[in-house]
Amino acid sequence: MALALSQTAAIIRYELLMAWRRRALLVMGGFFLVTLIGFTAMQPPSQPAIGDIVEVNASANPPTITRRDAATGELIVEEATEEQIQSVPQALRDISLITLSSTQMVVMLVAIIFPVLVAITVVVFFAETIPLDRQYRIRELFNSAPVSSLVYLGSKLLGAWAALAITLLFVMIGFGIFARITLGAFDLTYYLQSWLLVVLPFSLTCTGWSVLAASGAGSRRKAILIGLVLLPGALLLYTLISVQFWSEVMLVGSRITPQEPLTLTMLFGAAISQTAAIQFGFLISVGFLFLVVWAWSRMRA
Amino acid sequence: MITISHLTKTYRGGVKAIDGVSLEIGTGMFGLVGPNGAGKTTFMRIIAGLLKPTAGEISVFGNNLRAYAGKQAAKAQLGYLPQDLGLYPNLNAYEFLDYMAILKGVTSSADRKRQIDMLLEQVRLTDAAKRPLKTYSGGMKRRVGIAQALLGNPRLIIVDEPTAGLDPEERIRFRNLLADAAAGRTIILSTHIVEDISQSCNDLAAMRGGKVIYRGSPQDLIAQARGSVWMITTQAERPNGGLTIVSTLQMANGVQYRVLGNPDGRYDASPVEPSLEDGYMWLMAQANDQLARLAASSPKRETA
Repeated sequence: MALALSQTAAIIRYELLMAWRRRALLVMGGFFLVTLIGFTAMQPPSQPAIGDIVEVNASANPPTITRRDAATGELIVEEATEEQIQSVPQALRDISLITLSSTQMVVMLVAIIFPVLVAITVVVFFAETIPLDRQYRIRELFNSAPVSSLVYLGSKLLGAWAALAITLLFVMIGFGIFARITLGAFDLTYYLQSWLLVVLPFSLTCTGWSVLAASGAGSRRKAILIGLVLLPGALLLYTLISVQFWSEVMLVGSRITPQEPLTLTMLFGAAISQTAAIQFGFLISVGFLFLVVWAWSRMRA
Repeated sequence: MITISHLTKTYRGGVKAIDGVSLEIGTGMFGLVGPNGAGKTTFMRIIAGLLKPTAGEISVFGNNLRAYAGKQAAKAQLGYLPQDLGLYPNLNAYEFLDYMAILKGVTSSADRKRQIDMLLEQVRLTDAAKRPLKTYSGGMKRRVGIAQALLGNPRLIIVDEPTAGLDPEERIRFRNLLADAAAGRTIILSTHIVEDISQSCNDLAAMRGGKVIYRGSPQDLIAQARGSVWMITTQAERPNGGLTIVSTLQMANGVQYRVLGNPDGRYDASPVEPSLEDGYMWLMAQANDQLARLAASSPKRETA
C-alpha cells in the first residue's frame, strides 16, 4: 500500500513536471485566459445602474439610493424620493446593480461560455496522456516495474486532473483579476461556485473520458483522433449543462414576488447547484469507464 | 534461479517465436545469442513479465509468472533494459532515475539519492546529470538505460542488445560494469556481438527458430568448433566447396580467409584455434545442415 502511494505520488509529480516543461499547461492556460478575456471585451458595456442610480434600498427606513456622481465617479448615499424608487423595477430594488450586473456577466462567461472552450480543448489535449508513454517508448519500463495497472492508470488520470486543476486555478485567478478591473466588483461566492461546481466537474469529466478512452492507443496521433471522436460527446454534455443553467436563470422571473425580491442567490443558486448535481452524475461515468479500462488492462497484463 | 519449462509463444497469425524451450538459469552472467528472428527478445520479454507465454511454465526466484501476484513479485526483483529504450526528453538524468527508482520500490529519498549518485558515477554521467535527456547522445541515453536497470539492487537483470550504438570504449566499460554487477545476481545478456559474451559470460544459450540449439559454456562451444576452423591464403578466387567464410583480410601476398568446414586439397589451409565467434558460426552452420537434411528427408508430395 505504501509503495502504491509512493508510486502514485511520483507519477503525478513527474506528469505535472513534464507537462509544465512541455509548456503544455502554459499554452492551454494562456489559450483559456486570452479567449475568456476576448469574450469579455466583446460584451456590450455593462449597465451597472439605471440612470446614475447604483442601488435603491427601498426596505430601509427611510429608503435610500446610492448614486454615482457624474463628475467624480464617487458613490453617494442619500434619502430616496418616491420618484427615484419607482424608476427602478421592483425586482431590482434592494440589490447593488453594479454587483448584480458584474456578477451576472462573470458567472455567465464562466458557466456558459468557458465550458465550450474546455470541451473542445481538453478531450484532444489530454488524450495523449498514456499513449505518450508508448510514443517515448517508456511503457516497457513501467511494465517491467512492480507498478500495478490500477496504480498506473489511476495515477495517470489523477496526474491529468491535477494538471487541469492547476491550469483552471491559474485561469480563475487571472480572469478574476481582469474582471474586477474591467467590470467592477462582483460577488466572489458565485464566481468561485461557478468554477468549482460547474467548470471543474465538467472539465474533470471530459478529461477523464479522454485519458481513459485513448489509453489503448498506440501512438499520439491515434490518441488525438480518439479525442476528436469524443468531441461530440463533450459538446453534448456541454449542451446539457448550459441548457440546465440557462433554464434555471430564466425561471427566476417567475419566482420574484414583492415578498421575495431578486437576490444573487435567487438568480444563480439553483442554476449552479442543479447544474453541479448533473455534472457529478456524469463524473460517475468516468468511474465506470475507469473500471472497464482497468479490467481490460489487467486482463492483458 | 530461473526455471523455464516447455515455454512456447505463438503470435497471432501462427508465428511461433518460442518453441518448447526448457532452461534453468542460475546466478552469474548468462549470454543469449542467435540470429535476428531467433526469438531472443520474445524470450527475454516473457522472463521480464511483459509477454504472456502461450504454453509452458516459468518461475523467477520461485515466483510463478503465470499468476499475477507472482509476476508482480518477480518484477520487484527485476532490472530491465529493453532493446528499444525510450526516455522522457524533458526530464534530466537525475529526475528520470529518481522516477524509475520510486516505481521500482526505492521509497526512501536518502537511499534513492545514494543509489542514483553512485550509478551516475559508474556510468560517467555525473557531470551531465542535470541536462535534459533530449540533449543526450545515443551512447549517453544507453548509459542512462543501464543505470536505471541497476536501480533498486535487482536480483535479476535482463539486458537486450545493451551495447548497440556504443563506441568500443563505452562497450568495454559497460561489459565490465555488468560483470561487476553479476556477483550474486543473475544477468541475462542478449547480444549479436559474440565478443561481449566471450568476455563476460560463463554460461550461454544459442537460439534459432525459437528453439535453444546450444546450452553450455563458451569454452565448450569453442571446443566443438576445434578442427573446423582454417586459414587459407590465396590469390585465386574465394574458397568454396561448402566452406563458410568467417573473415576476409587483404594481404600483400593475396587474400587471407578464415573459413569453417573441411577444405579440400585445392587450398593451402592451416588449422587455427577457434574463437567464440567461430564456435557460433560453426553452430549455425550445423543447424543449417540439419535443417537441409530434414527438408531433404521429408517425403515429397506427388503431383498429379
